[in-house]
Amino acid sequence: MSDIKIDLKPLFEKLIDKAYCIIKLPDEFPQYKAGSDLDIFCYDVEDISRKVLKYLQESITSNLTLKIINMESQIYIDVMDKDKINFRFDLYGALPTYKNILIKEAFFSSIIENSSVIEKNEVTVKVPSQIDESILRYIEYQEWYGQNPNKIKHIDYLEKKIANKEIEVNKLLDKLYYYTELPKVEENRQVSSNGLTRYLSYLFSMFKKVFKMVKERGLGKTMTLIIRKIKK
Amino acid sequence: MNTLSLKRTRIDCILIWGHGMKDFDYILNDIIKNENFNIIKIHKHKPKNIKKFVKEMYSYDYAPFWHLKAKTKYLLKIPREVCFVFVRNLLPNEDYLGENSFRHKESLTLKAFKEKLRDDYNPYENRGRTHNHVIHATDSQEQTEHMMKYLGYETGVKYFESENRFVDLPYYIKDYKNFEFKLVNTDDIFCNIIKGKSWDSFFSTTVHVKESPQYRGLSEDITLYQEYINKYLGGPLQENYNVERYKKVCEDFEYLKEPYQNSFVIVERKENKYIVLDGLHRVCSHIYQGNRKIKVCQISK
Repeated sequence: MSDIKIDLKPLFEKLIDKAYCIIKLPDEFPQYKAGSDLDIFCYDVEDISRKVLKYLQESITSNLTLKIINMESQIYIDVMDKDKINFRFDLYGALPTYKNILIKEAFFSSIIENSSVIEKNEVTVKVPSQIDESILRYIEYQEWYGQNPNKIKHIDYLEKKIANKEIEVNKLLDKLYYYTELPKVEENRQVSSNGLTRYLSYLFSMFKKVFKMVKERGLGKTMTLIIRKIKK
Repeated sequence: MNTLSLKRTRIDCILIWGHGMKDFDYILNDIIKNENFNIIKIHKHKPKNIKKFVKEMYSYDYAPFWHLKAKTKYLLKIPREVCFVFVRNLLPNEDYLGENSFRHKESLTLKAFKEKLRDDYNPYENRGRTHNHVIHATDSQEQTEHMMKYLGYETGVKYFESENRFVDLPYYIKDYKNFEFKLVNTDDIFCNIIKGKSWDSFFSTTVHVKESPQYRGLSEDITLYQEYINKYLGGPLQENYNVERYKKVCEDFEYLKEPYQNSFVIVERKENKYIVLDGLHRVCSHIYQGNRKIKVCQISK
């Protein structure tokens, strides 16, 4: 069990005058579980990274190293406990790209500009407004629900907030409609307008299928399957 | 007076012609002492054809070359060795000078300094300063850009831009995406040093930091390092290396102390050795103070 613990309180005290916003602030903050991360939106990722590094470098020991991976508009700062990530600062200088939802770039600055300063377990931090937090959770649900049904928790969160009248539904929907859009479903397959070309293409694909099947199952089995299909 | 861009810095170049190279150390020292300029790069060069070289250097001048031909005739007979000193001009104080087609933008700070250097180092005849100028200085950053490209730096003055701001990286370390900050034994720290007969005939070899002229200059005799600089400056050593400044920095040196917490020694890992890419002076000073471990930034692509 790792005994490495980074004290996040002094760091966020140093960042108080910077334009940033912590996304999905965990309840246990400034405590954290080994291996967890903190997503931070900021205008100047390099400036924030410089501040974080300046603070963390004092903690470097034979067992604790720091790793920075620079991907231009996104920077990872990993506190490493030997070869395991103890804690990750995931700094974004722009919105990540989503497949299942289209988001206007300006939403990123809107989140930072509308962020709220709160006290979380005696640490002053900047977090998104209630409406932005709700939109971000909706985006996360929309993007990942297909792969991770657990993301339904974000919809539960929204239902609870609306039921308790903690957020104004009209304002939430106004902002959601303004900044997001669902991608159009398009058929990208190209089909020739010429009937002969289409037929030749069909024969070629059948030939490929047969060739593949002979390779995988042998000639005898393939012939049996072809005869069965013709009889049908 | 219409003075432009008082606060914006720019990159300039002071070119020391062949007949000025005998005073190279003095001229360089004058540039170092001038607080308006920070030396970024010192690049000695032996042009194959001095006539073509002169023409090339003046091809971006505000005046057409036919006008400069008589003025630069003396340059055809000078020794075939020059030195480009690239500086960050901290106070350009730009203004438009000249009339009609000769009107051009120039840094008044650099213009005044250029005249001072010419007063001090131009040849004199009959108690008067000749126009056989020992130095040429750029009028604008565009001319510096042209000189950089002539020397093979395709990105021009952009070459001097550092790639990131979270750790202090010198401009010449480029294209690295991964940075690891760790504590290492000083026994594992090595560096590349230059050997060979002169600045234009040399090779590099990897040695332990304690065998470097930089460390031996501290632990044995500082003249060892001075001789090393004298021999290779402008060739393989292109930074503003200076023994006096090195000695002064070492006097009250404390590695990574405020406000230099992000000024890590930059190393690359090769064959179980950490090779210093930047910060050799800091490593030497840190070890000389008796430290056996050092925090470094190991970079990889």
